[in-house]
Amino acid sequence: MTVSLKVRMPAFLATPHSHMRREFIYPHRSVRSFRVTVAKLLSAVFTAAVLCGSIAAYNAEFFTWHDRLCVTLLEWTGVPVTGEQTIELFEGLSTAVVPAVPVARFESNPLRFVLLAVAGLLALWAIQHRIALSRGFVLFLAALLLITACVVAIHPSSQFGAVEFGQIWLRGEVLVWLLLPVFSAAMFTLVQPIWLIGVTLTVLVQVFGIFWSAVRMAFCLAVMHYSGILFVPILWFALGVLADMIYLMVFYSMAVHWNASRYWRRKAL
Amino acid sequence: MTILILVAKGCLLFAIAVLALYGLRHYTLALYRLSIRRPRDMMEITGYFLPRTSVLVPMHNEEKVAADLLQALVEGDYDRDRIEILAIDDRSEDRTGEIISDFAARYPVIKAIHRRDGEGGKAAALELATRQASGEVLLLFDADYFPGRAMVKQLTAPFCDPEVGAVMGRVVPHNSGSTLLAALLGLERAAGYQVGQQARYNLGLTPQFGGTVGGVRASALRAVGGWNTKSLTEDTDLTFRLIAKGWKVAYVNRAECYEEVPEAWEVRKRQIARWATGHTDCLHRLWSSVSGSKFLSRPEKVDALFVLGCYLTAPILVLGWLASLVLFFSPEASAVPPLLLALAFAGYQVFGNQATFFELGAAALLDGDARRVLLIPVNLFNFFASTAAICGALLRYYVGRVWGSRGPRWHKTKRFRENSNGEQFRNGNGSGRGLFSQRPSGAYTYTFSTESEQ
Repeated sequence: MTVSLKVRMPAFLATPHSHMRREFIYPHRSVRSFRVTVAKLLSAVFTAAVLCGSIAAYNAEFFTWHDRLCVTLLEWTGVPVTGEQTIELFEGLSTAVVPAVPVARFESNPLRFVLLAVAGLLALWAIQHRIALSRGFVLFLAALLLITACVVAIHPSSQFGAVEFGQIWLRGEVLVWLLLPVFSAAMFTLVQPIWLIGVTLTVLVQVFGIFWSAVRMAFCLAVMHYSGILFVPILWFALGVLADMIYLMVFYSMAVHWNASRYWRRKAL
Repeated sequence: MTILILVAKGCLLFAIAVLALYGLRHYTLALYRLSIRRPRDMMEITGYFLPRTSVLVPMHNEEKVAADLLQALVEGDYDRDRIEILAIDDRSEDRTGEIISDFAARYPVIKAIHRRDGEGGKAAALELATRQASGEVLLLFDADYFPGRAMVKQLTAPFCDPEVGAVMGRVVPHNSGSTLLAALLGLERAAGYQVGQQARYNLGLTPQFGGTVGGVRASALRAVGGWNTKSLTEDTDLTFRLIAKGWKVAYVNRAECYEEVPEAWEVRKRQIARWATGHTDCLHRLWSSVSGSKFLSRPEKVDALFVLGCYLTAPILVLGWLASLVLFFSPEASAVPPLLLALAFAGYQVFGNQATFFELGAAALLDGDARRVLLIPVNLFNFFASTAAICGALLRYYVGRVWGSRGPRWHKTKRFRENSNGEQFRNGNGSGRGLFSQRPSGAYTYTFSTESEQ
């Protein structure tokens, strides 16, 4: 059997220089640059300095607000808060108060721990099976869960309580709060056409960062109350600094979206 | 236990140091690119320098896409006396050879090369075609690309500078509206070209020749020993051999050419695994010639090593995560670390990884891509998935090196164009693909029939 080939083309493409073809094909309306002015640069530096200074100077107040919000959320969800404890974070920063929550331990009910670990692994397996793009991340979390389960089973002494977790959590978060203004000022103030919007977004991200940290910490403590430290490394990984990165990206993508739309609308293209 | 904690601390510090440097580089390039008032561009001289050019199109089982590319190339506005199109049927088992022969019969500018045996891989096909090419400049296109009419003029313009050994155009996915993965890869490509390549070109560093939508000066290619048929990334290999010998690579951001990005994760995984293996292989072979080159400035050398080592950041990142995990479970976790070290750690964890995403946003801003930029947070999954794929590929590569295997193998990237009967060119086909509102609606329709039917 010989296969022959016939080529049919629409009439408008039969001529090589048809008007339907363009010299250059641009898939988008690319511009040469965005203006980064001295005013924007100064406002970014000033905003970052003021926010960093505020966190450093008033960290005790921020920790107090964070703790109150966390306790309120825990009480709303019915998790018992047995008290509050003062913890050390870093030299140069004030002490912080974290809620004390009773935490389930492996020794008290090993079967429950095993069932929870298996359920967690099955849930993660189902997620990676359904969403191919999430496979790498979810398999990493599954490995983390498996390692945690083994460590807890072999070395029950490695388990820790809510206060220790609060200390680990706040150590990470306070660093994020201190660094966030620098990066968000660079990401928002420099690329926004109106500097005031950039400054507002930078401040907004900072406020959201503190609020969201309290929410995530309350969630982690609630999980600890029911399942001990089994899921804590996963939560610490997925809801810790990674979650900080995600909200920053969400804010950033929205800012760029708004900026790009506005810029191109202004150019009436 | 003490040794384990010590090792974990060392690994973490190493990861912080390496990734912080990469993060800083990304931020610097993105901010610099945003603020360039006048990017280096060759638009002004396009069409004024028309060297004798050979367009090389290697194709291996490309029946779905071959005709579209060949038709687009023959419709180009380059002087017909100064151009030849070498369409290489590289051991195809489908109808690619027939399509090429048909085009060669209809258009004298196309020369069909049928390769039936020999070493596999794109570089081997290019090596064969280069021997038959008569052009001073060799331009390359992969089969899934759609060059515009002036593309050849745009890409040959930088060769008026005798120091330029290779040129690279901008790659833009046409199917970024088809799946989530394709949309995310569209963002990635924009960052890589609109921000990374352009910023590096403006800073006098080396934009990378990508092996398609680009070209190389034939004399420069001969001077560095031709194509490396053993390499999985012959483009990277050539880029760094050229710059080590004093040639420059030019980047033309306005020479935009459509390509097809993987729409399925399995295909993407194989593609990125091949890139990671080939790139890292180039690092091992070329780092000494690049760092010892007398033609390169120190910043150029540093940037070249950053580019060559970029895929190693994935295992380093995982190493950092594992070290964090060990420290999390160890008694060290409750000891108070110095504030500066802790700040560095947080900076690396949150913002080091963020830097690449900042680049994505910068590219979207410059391209006016207001809608797709909202997908940036979702790109985190792509980031993790790519990290896993790269780690797996590099593990296989290093195990292969230790055990003396035959080395990395070539994998052909699967094409997603549904057919070659023009569906992809029709406007309003409901697929929402970005190209179709921009691209002239044309169709190259093929009908295959048996003799008995005629």
